[in-house]
Amino acid sequence: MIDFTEEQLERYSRHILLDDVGVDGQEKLLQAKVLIVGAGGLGSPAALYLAAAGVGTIGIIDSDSVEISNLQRQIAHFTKDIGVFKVDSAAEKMQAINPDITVRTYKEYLCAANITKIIAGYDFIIDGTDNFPTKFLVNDACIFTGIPFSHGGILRFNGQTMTVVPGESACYRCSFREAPPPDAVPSCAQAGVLGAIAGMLGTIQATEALKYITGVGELLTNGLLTFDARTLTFRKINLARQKSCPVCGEEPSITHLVDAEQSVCELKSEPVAAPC
Amino acid sequence: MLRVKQEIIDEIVEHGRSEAPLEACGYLAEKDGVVCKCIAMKNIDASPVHYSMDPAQQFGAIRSCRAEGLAIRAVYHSHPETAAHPSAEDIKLAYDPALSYVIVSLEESSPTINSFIIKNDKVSSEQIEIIRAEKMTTTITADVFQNLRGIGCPMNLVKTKVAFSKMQSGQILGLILDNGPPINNVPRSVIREGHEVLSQEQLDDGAWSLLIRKA
Ligand SMILES: [Zn+2]
Repeated sequence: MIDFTEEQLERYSRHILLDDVGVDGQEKLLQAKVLIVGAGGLGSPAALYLAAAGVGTIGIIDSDSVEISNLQRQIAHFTKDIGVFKVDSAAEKMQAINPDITVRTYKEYLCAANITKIIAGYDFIIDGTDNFPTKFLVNDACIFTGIPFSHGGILRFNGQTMTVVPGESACYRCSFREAPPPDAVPSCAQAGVLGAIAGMLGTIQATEALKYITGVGELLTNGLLTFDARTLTFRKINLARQKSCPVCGEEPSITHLVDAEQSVCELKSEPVAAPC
Repeated sequence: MLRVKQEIIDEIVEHGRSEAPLEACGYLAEKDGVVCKCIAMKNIDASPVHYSMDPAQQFGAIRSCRAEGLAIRAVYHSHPETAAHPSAEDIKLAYDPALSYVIVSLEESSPTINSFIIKNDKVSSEQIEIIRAEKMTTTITADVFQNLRGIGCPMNLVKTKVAFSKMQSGQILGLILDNGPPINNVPRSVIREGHEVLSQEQLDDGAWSLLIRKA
């Protein structure tokens, strides 16, 4: 049992007061380890809220540096951070909010060769990338290692998210078999995105991480939550685990991790799509 | 100085109210310098403006006081419609200068009590000291004690929850909470979480002492 300091009691008082979180829940948060993939539009709010919540260890992986075009939605980065590694910029803000936590930064592009090693030991993963190869890679690696994760994506005015608990709930591939061919789907860089929806979706993902760690409520599993910010319509589409799923089904065809058609690890200078 | 236990004051007021609109009367008996017994007497005048005691009942009261080791200290009566001051008749009938004459006025919604010494038709007022009831001494003792004096909402509840988190189910937490929002909010929250408030008493400084059994 953690002996909370006076400062911690005050800092986390609004969590401790919640019947469903309480002292035990805050203790779980302080002992939890969450990895955020991408320090962009989704990763920024998720990182800030998880840091504020007192998630004890937060990893954040991104190989990019801050560009001025990121600042419209990637709220962990400030104008002064242009040219700085996104993970360093994000870590600085997270520690400024809460010096109580440990932030681990990874200036790497997540790929088949490094993902297993990087995600090992984390309790929950937030996928905040917007490129399909990495989304499928995160899904497959999490299914293989049994680590739950939150999938998230935003484009234009729309967002979508689902939570996957490997072995229990539908995985991303159960519904979306494989990554669309490159250029079939536009990225934020081509299609644009309303900045605030990054906050809407990233905070949902952070909420799922907090719920998973504390055991509060029901996770967004076996369902895809989508929204259209133009009408502010939210929809929850029920999904089910598929026996025929190529990664979590009865006879999986994917048995080891491979990078998708583009070998992004070799494209460090020109990533397939900048994380939103 | 007339020293009277709080509950005796309450009894005098209650007796006065129960007889209104007639005057009520009775004796106050003391032990160790503190009035600890109120002996209600019958007002044989049955009047709203004066009173007389029944001599037979007076002797009975004096006898039973003696048997209990008590001494008659004062005569009291009520003024249902007038102020707590002796009337001309009260002064004339005050036959014993060794006794105090206590008058409760029920004129206003909150009663007033004054005490007087009446000697040779001369009235002097006497100070009353009200002795509050001693705190109930409880046999339950707390397993864990938290003094939350000076700690406001919601940190007092945070600290209460932390204390509970370190206790076993069924153990007793002793708490001191400030008056005002703390005593209004903290017990309600702990009850909502299933714990049982066993006792709640106000202390002399206005703070509250609570015993709570962990669910
Ligand atoms: Zn699947």
